[in-house]
Amino acid sequence: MVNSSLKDLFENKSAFIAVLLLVSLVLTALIGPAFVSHDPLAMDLDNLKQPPGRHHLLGTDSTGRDILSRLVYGARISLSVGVLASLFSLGIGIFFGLIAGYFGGRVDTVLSQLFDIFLAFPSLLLAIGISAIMSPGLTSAMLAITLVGWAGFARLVRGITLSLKEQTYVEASRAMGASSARILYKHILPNALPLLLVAGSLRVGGFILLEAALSFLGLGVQPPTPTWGSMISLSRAYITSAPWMVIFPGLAISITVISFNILGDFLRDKLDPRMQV
Amino acid sequence: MTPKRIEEPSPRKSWHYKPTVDNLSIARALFLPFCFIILEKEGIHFNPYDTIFVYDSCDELSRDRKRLTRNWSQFPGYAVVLFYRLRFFQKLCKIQPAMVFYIFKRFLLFIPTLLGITLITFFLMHSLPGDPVTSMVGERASQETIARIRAELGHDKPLAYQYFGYLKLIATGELGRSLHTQQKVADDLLQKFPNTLKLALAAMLFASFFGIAIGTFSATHRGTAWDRLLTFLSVGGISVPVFWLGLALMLVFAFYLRWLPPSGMGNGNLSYIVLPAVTLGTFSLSYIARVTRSSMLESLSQPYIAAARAKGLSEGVVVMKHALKNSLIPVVTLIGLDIGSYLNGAVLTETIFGWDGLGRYALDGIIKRDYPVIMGVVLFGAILFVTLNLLVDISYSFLDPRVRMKEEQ
Repeated sequence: MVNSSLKDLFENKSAFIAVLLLVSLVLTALIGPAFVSHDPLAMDLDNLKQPPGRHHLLGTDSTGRDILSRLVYGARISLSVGVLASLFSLGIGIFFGLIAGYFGGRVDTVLSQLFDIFLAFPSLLLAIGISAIMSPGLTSAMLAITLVGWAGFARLVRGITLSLKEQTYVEASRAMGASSARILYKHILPNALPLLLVAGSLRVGGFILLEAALSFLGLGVQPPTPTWGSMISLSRAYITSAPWMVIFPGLAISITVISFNILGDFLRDKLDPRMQV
Repeated sequence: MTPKRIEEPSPRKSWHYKPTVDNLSIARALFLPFCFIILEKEGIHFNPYDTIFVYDSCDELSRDRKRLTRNWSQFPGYAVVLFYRLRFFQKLCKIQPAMVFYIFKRFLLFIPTLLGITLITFFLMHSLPGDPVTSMVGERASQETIARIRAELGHDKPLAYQYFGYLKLIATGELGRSLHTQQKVADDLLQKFPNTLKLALAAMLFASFFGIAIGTFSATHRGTAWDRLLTFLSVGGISVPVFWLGLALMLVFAFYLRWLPPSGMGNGNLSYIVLPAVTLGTFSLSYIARVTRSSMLESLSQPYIAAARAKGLSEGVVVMKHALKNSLIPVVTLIGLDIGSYLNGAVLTETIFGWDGLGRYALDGIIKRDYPVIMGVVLFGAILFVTLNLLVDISYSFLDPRVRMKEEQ
């Protein structure tokens, strides 16, 4: 199955390009900082708002900081927030979703109601509410995104569990006296996992967008640490005199999220054609 | 209007009707005319035929109910009159009993959702940094003063008690005052909301029209370069950050081309709403285009399309009249349920274009750390969102009974 998926990946041009982009992005985030020549925080008052050129490949911002190196450092934050928030909310979602789906009855009613309440908030507004009460930073952004995202996963896990627990192998292991925890961990979770990973990868793009929006609103990682969202927000005032300051961070976000979305679409078509949008 | 006609239903409906002649049915036959006379006197005129078979849909559930109600109607007495009156009312409003149950259930489920939302905003309010009492009286106030004010505000009471106080305040429309302008948050929200609504409606219009058009176009041109381009663009539309898109559009259309004003509200001048509406609508447009495309492809592969083509209809009629109409149901659902994305997007779009709505109000609150304002917008947005979702759900249960059936399974 993995083999055929890989083969399909090489045949599907756009998914292949998306994967290439993502791999290079992760490499950039991991080892890129070693290769950029400028300090992302070093101001250079002689070179304010330089257009893209030989010395500064993507130009400089209003305090003379190199945009390329800021983008490279910003990739770390965007990717780690997107992926980690996805994993955390997947974890919480799996926990509550398994319980709700497996035990059913009143537990299910209460938990499902809880999911619905969290899903009732428009995501950005809830994230704003959560991150506004904490001192802004990486933790607050991550926590806000996790709390926004977990309910969607939980509902998905609940649905999958509901269908999996009717399978004969679950019945068989129950007949052999396996405990609920063992059945959940050994039988239901492994069977649900591939679908969940797809769902997770589909959401990473959205989480990166959410992080960028929070940073843009000043609720994410605080300056001077470069993040893509805050770079756009800081350079808004110079949009007519130095448009490259706005354009490049936005392109970085867009390309990343497009790659994640294309990859997610590909995986979804591969694993579960019924889920096609 | 003879009783005899009641006993012989039209052939169209006879497949689920088996006339039986027993004492009860004779009694009914004798009694029914009186029922109709009573109803007629009350000014309700109708064809008795229709009242007996209200349902035309043939799903299992209503068939069961039909069987049940036919037995019911065999009981003579005033109950029959009441029953027919109810049936008539249902027919008038096209309401089926199942739908009444469904709406009732949705309203019941709505209450815990509202309570949950207020509970979450209450806890957010409660865990705000800084002590509100200290910030009221200052750092140097004595312990007794602080304790007194705390008691006056009810802050020494248990959390549950405080939560009920909070609920009571919300129920009376009291969301506190802004820390900076001392204006009532509720008043501000009501004043800004129409602007956001205007923007959201414009965006929705833009997104729906172009989304359906683009989706239809790429479905009918499947596999061509156009289709690939539009599909890629719709992935792009979902992936591009709203705030960056707004800035990019502003740069191109307002600063380089100078076609449209860059920001502001322009006293209702339509040219001012174009850029914000396009920015806000792009996300939704891309989704609508994607869903329209796949739903259209499915419709186009149906046999009735082949039949329409075989009949010699022009391709335009086949696509626009036969395929599009049938592929719009999921699209309309999507448009209705996508209100949340407009609320999210409004915060960012309004910030960029200086649109004086809820979103900018929220951002002002964030910048000034004006917590009553932030929480007011969050609560208002959430309540608005769930209420609109409820209304959308209920109206879909009228339009498309399958939505309701799915819910019940």
